[in-house]
Amino acid sequence: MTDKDIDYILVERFINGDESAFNELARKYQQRIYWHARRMTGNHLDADEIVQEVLLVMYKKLKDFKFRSSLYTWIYTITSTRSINLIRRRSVKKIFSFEDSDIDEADKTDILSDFENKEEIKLMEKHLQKIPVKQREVFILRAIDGLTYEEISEITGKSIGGLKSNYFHALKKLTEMMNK
Amino acid sequence: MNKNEKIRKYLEGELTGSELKEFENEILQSPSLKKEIDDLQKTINQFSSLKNVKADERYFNNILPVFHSKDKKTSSFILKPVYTAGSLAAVLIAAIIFFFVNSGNENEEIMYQNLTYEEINEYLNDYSADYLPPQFIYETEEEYDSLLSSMIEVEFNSELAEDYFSELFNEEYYSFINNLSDDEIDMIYNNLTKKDF
Repeated sequence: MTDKDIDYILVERFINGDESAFNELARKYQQRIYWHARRMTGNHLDADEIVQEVLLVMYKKLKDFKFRSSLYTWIYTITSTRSINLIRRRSVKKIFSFEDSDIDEADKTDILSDFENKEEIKLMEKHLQKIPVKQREVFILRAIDGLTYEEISEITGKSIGGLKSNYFHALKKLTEMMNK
Repeated sequence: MNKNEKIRKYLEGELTGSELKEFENEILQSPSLKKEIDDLQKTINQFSSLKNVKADERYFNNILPVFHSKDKKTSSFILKPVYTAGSLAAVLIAAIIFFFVNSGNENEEIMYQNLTYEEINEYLNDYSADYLPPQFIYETEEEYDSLLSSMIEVEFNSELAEDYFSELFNEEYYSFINNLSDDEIDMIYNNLTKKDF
């Protein structure tokens, strides 16, 4: 049985009223959602907020999911969209209210347990935040999540040529930053 | 095929046959090209290692209980339409004034004016940090991701703006900003980034 078949059965069960099927789906995808959101936004607090939002969207919209694409690409699309919205929201709020950033607060509540490499991980996460959000999205999906350009195209709705170009621009910028 | 495209294809294993051999020869003959490729490959390896990052499992075990403890009905801040429209208009006007009144750097202004609508759109769509001076990119906080924020930051003359906004930014205003819904934020953002605003 393929991954897609398993997802299909779980979705069917959930639509027919089996709440435990939703829990299984959530447990299956929650880490992917969290890490993607975290790399997009650069901190734990925002990623945590997005995880809850994405689960809520899944809970409400799974009944409309028609399996024209894989469930995980649909979930990635929701996560990416929510992350970009949150980045925009923060950006607009910051402009108009001159808010201080919550970076310190995010640091205190972080869940990283990889203490040996913590500084290096934080540095890479910080560098990711310095590249344009669309390049960041492609780079994360390609270099970290290991998705194919076809899958990324399905998630982002962008052409493969454009994605390849975005990926390479991101790679060059990140290399420059890592070499400083 | 340009150099960057060749390098990208090489790194992604898309070069085959004679193209691959030819490029491998180029690399052998050029230490600078070899270094460039090694550096890029190192970056890929470093970032791909992020997929193995360990985190506190208790957090993940707690995601579903937290989700189920919340009311699944969305609660959104609802304003009367007439107040919403008026307040959104005030925010947009403030943004426009930010852009066009508080311009403190003539050079920056000329650069923006030299851009075509298509170029501006492209930059805005891509949150193009690369348009900004490098020192600006590296010294700002993570949140300053969009060209929109960056342009305002570059052009922002704090004294003038503080005077102008001292009356505008009262408690009611902050409360309004903090309670904007996603859709309202999106509307403001999209209006701010529209080429003809």
